[in-house]
Amino acid sequence: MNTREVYDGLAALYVPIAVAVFGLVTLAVIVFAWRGRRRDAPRGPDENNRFELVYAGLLAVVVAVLLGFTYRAIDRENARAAGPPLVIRVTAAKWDWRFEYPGGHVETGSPNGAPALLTVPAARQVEFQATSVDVIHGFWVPALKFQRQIIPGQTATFRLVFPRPGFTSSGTCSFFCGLEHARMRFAIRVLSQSDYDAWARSS
Amino acid sequence: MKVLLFWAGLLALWTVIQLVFAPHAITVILLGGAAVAVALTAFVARLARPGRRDAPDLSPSTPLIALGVAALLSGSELGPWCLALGALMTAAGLAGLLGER
Amino acid sequence: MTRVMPAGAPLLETFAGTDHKRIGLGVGAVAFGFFLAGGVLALLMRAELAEPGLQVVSLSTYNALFTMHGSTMIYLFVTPVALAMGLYLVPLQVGAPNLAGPRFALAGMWLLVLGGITMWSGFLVQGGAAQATWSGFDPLSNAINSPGKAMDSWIWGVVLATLGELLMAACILATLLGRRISGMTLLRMPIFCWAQLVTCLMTLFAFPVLIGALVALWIDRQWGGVFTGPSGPVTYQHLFWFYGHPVVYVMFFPFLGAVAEVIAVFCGRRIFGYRGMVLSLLVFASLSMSVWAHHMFTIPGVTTKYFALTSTLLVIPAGTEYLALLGTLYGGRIRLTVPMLFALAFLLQFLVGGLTGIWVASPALDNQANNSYFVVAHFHYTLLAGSVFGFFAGVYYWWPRVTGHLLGERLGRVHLVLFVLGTNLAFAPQFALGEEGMPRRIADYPASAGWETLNSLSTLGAYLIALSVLVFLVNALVSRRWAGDDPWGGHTLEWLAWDASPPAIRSHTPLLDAA
Repeated sequence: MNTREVYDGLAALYVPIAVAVFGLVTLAVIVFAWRGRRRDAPRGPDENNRFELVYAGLLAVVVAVLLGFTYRAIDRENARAAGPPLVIRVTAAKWDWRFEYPGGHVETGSPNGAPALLTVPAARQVEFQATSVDVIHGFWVPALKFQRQIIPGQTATFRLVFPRPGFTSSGTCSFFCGLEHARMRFAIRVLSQSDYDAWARSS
Repeated sequence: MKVLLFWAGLLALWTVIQLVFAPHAITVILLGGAAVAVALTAFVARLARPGRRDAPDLSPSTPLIALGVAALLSGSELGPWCLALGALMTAAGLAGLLGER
Repeated sequence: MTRVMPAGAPLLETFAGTDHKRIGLGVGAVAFGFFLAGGVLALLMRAELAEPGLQVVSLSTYNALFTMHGSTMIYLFVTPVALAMGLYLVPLQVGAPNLAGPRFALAGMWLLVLGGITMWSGFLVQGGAAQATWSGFDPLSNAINSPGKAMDSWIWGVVLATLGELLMAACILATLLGRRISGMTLLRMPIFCWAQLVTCLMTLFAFPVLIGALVALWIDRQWGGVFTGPSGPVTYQHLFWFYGHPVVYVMFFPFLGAVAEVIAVFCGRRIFGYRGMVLSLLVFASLSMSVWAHHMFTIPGVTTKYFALTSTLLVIPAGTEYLALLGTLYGGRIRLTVPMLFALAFLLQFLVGGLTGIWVASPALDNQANNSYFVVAHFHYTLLAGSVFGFFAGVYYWWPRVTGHLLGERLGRVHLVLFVLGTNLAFAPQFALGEEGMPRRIADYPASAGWETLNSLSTLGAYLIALSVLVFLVNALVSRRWAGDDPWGGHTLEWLAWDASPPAIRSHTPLLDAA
């Protein structure tokens, strides 16, 4: 699934609501404090049940809207497009990544410290089957707004779509895994489908 | 007490709603278990008669018991001498507590 | 009923006294000491992160620093200080001569002290203190991946401290339910007492699960067999977070209660919508027991839709509580004293934390934010920019009740301004850092990532926070203005001294009614 699109769409709903709420409350605090300082005596009723009920009802509507779009986003991220995806097996270990491509080619970090390189085709569902051999790690690609916990003894299966060819990015382990967690990164290279096929044949 | 039962009811409500979402057993057990525990506490609280004896102003047995428990747990790391010391302090503290009544 | 602490108390009373004010102050002082210690750890962390490259500490030391910083702040500072306020104030506010079962609270205080010492003793062990995060995730925390005594000491330290907190909460709850003065029905209690009531409910029914999980972890470390198997790590997380979410509300509600009291008093009126507030507190606390797996959204197979539902539903009680406080401000005759200023800052800053909490309650958004600096910023806004501001509102407000003196207003304003600047400078940039892909719990980051500027700003903010705390300490040591009986015009019974006949309680703000 194009996780970036799903994220951006949902953010476009959440951000304005959050900003509006913060702005309203800040304004209220400032205005009420300003007017309250000039007042001689406090005034006003101690409760207004009808107002509170209407207000709670409004909040419930906001919750329903947020949840509706959130559920839709979850469904879209879990959706499986038709046709067989490209499957890359990921193995996480302290403190490096191992990518196994169909056909058997394997990429890991090099001894001189260069991170493991993940090579993927553009605009096509890539299915990752990820596991760990020791502790929990996290497979996170910030540019795609997506991560999953990689748990020893379990296989995490998820699908990602990478944007245009030439896109270079990085991924990192996001779940604290011990001493060199900070160094457990990987690089990402996106190729066009034909370039990818050529690369896959040659390796 | 009504407040506890009301709260237990809320916990039960959130547990039942879980069932709509095909939950794992562990999530039902944890939240449902808490609901049951709160309800049980409500009944125990209703039955319990508060002790009308005031606590003494000073209770040196209490910190002794706390020290003893801590030493018992640390004894698993520090060795049998610590375990023995912890057992001794806890016992002494409990004995002292009986004397404080 | 004595007004202030008995002066010049002998050592034995400090160690073994059963008076709730002494125990509350003892717990509060110990907790505040851990705040300072945990703060020093944070300053070391921020010094390391200001620039790429390892300049200050090693990888291993950094991992111990953040483990102990989080553990200290959560297990040893904010949670116990929240309960300490209850230990001190609840009997006074409900008109009881002492806590119910005060020896349990006294035991709790000592278990907290010993738990803290046990946890910190890890620093004396070769290999350094525990390094498996404040959550102690399995399998990282098991015998293979975290061998050695420091991890076991951490486990027992947390167990002891948590047990102590359980005992304190039991006493406070028993006092609230069974020791209220005649005429004070539950619905006439101050809001602070209701906040403590729901806090104790969450403590009593969530904290035992943590103790069970950590004892199980210890057994697994000695003999194996507990969290083995493919479902072990996820089971550990369920057990841990079943505690780990309610605890963050234990670390919030008492300070919300303090803020409510402060706002009511410095608006010169009752809380608006008292009953709505009470209902919200109960619903909020019950929901908080049901949301825990939102910390596990990125685990395949978790029922994300249910936990997104309960987490987002929090908007309703939270929004109602904000309505009550804003509604109180609306018609108030407002005095902008230092406690009131801290309370208003709490309102706005906690809101940032709350709104970003609703953000991460959405699994698709959390897929990015989880384990990143976005989440770090979120919880520091709720806990530091929120709860600790509420804590200081309460400290400035109740200081004259405890000591008989007023804290200085001018130094208090300096403290506030530095603290506001510091917390926002420290944590606002971290939202951006998380969005850009900076994960949490890393000692270092590559220079090519372009994160240096925001990290440097964040470090500057952290040091401003430290400066503000120093200002507060100076204020506490120096200020000697005599406060008199009721310097603020308080609404609740702790401000009233009576000797023979207690007041007749006719409303939920009993002092305000006494004419």
